[in-house]
Amino acid sequence: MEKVLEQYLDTVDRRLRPLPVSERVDIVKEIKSTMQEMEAEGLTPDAIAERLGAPEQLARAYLSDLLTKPQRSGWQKLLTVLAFYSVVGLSGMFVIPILGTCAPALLLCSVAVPLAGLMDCLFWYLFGIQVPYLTIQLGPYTPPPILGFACTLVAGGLLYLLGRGCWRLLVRYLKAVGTTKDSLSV
Amino acid sequence: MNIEDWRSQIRRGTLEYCILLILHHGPCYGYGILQRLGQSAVTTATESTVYPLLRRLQKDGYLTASWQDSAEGLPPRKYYALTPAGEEALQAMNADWDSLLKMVALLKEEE
Repeated sequence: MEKVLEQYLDTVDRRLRPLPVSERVDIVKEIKSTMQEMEAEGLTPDAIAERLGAPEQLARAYLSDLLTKPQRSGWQKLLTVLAFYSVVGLSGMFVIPILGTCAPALLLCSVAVPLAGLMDCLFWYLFGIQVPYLTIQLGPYTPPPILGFACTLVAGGLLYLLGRGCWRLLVRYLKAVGTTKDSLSV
Repeated sequence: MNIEDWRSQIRRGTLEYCILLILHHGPCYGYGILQRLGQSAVTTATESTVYPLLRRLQKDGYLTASWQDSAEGLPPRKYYALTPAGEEALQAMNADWDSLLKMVALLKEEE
């Protein structure tokens, strides 16, 4: 099976996490069977993926169809809901503000740091001035402006990756909370 | 009134009925059902509607499902078949459908 389709199945499987494992396996097996059926008809992997629609949407169709029925008794459900909101409330108190602040701050820094490095470098070589309050230090060592600029570029890249990581983590956290909440059907 | 909306409502409303009708003639697998439905634009349905629906019908006891190996070069297929409860539901739907058609015919004549 082609990589595009393997990835497609992986995504569906991941999205179906609220369902019991046996059910997930069966659903993925059935979609895979359909893909092979289409392959045998001569459809390209991309055409197959397009026909099936976004994997997230396909998974959601299963979830909304299968999870709307009450599976637990009232009391158990109440406890589950209480546990869910306690955990989400508590973790959200830290996760959302920390990631929500770090992500934009890091991304801003990832631009600001190389800019500062560039400025330092330009001022030094063009005008021969050291910009006040602007020094690049690697521990006790202060590199020459051109090397300093290179360092800020690297640092900027790292900050960007870190910022993007935080942002993605935040998005994933929120999505996970969303899907779990949907699966509780309250 | 949007004609496209109307069409999708018709499609949604008759999908279960069409699936039961297809299975009434014998067990079939999901992709086969989709192809059969695809033979008319009115009944064409997407994978994301049909597969979850098949599962729900199975859970509700109208269908049974079993995996079967296929011929060389084809994947194993999950065949769905009507249960007695499914047959019973189909009979009820047939009756409703017939009265609907009769009523529509009457309404048309009155013009």
